[in-house]
Amino acid sequence: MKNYVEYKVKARVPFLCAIFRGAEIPVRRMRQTGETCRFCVPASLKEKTERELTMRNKTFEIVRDRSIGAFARAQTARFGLLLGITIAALFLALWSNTVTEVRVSGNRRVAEETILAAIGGEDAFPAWKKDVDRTELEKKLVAVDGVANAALTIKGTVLYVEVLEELDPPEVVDYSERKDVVSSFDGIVTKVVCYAGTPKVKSGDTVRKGDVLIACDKFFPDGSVREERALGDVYGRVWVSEERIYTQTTIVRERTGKRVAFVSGAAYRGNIDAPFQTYDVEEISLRGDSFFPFAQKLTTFYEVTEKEVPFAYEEKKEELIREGTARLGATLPPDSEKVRTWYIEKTVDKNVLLVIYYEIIVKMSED
Amino acid sequence: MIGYVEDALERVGLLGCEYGARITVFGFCGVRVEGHRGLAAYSEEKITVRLKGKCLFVTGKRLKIRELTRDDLFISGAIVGLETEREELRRV
Repeated sequence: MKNYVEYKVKARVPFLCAIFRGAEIPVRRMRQTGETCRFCVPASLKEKTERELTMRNKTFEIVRDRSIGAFARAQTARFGLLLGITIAALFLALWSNTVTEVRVSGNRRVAEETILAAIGGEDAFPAWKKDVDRTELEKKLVAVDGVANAALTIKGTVLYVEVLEELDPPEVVDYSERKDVVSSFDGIVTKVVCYAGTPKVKSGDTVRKGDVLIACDKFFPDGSVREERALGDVYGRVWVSEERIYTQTTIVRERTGKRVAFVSGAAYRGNIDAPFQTYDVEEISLRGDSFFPFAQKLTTFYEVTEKEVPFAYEEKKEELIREGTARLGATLPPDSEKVRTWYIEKTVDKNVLLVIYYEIIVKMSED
Repeated sequence: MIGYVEDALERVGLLGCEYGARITVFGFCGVRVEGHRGLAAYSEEKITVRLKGKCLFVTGKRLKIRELTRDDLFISGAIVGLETEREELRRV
């Protein structure tokens, strides 16, 4: 039985049954223990029950009050619990009305940072849902170069930004513009393809960076000269190199194991004083998630000691050559053809000079 | 579709008759008395229920009054026996 009151009365069961039957009060779990009788009545009939007992000069004692009113009175003493429940409910209500995260999709050429900057940047969020004017933000996104259309939806606490990018713009050439084709590299010309203008070099010529390869002047047999935009591709053999000096000793930074970390708000722009004299610093941006929406920055200082150690060039030679070759190769133009690579090493004052070369065939002309 | 009670009354030949209180025994673990007139006596071994013109004695062990309303009485416990006696005789 829920919502009931249990009484203890000094009386006999038949007597009480007669009272409650006449007053039409349903009674449950009636039992006699010696001279006292215990029973339960619905909480809604509590007053009527007590009135009937009082009328017959029967003293009663409430053993258990399971009514809603008694429960509410008992809970008012649990101030801490009620306060916690209130704070949790308030937090949930506020959290559900905020946008805490932005997710961008559909962008291929336009950088995500550009899109985020257009809608207010990372500092704009978290924000209240009612303050997020989706129509206004969509207009701002469409104004971004490269974005044809945008759609914003809010699901839960996440703002989904879906952009539709513009098609790649066609290359437009102004044929009336007076412009020569010049060389971007020093090298030897291997092939000249001229579409407009007058070529100034031929296969086998040595050119330097900035030299004119195709001039914008066009000469006609009758002696007239017409200026037009020079167009064409000139390919040549180019040599690139990288040189490094390796000494007999090298400075190595070793971490001592001591570290100190600081957590600051993402908006904090001040400097954090380093706790060590020599240190490495590592910063990690902790982007808020849907549980804790506020972005933070974790700055960790590691104490380091610097010491000079001998550098064994011969032992690391192959690795250094491999690394240097990869490093130089990464700087080459993507459309170049690698012909060969080699290296030379020279000992200069007990140090080693390592030079790595690449021979490539590449389009030398700038458009 | 005839109900359970009506079907039982018809089979015992009491359908449509005034039969007074209805006493239902549930496997000797509980008794329901419908149409009672109150309790005359109570103990854990014997409960005397007043009916119209009769008394019903419910005997057993650990008898408890589960629920009591104006017309219904529910008794639980180990029911051993049920007896009736005319109320006039009891008064004598």
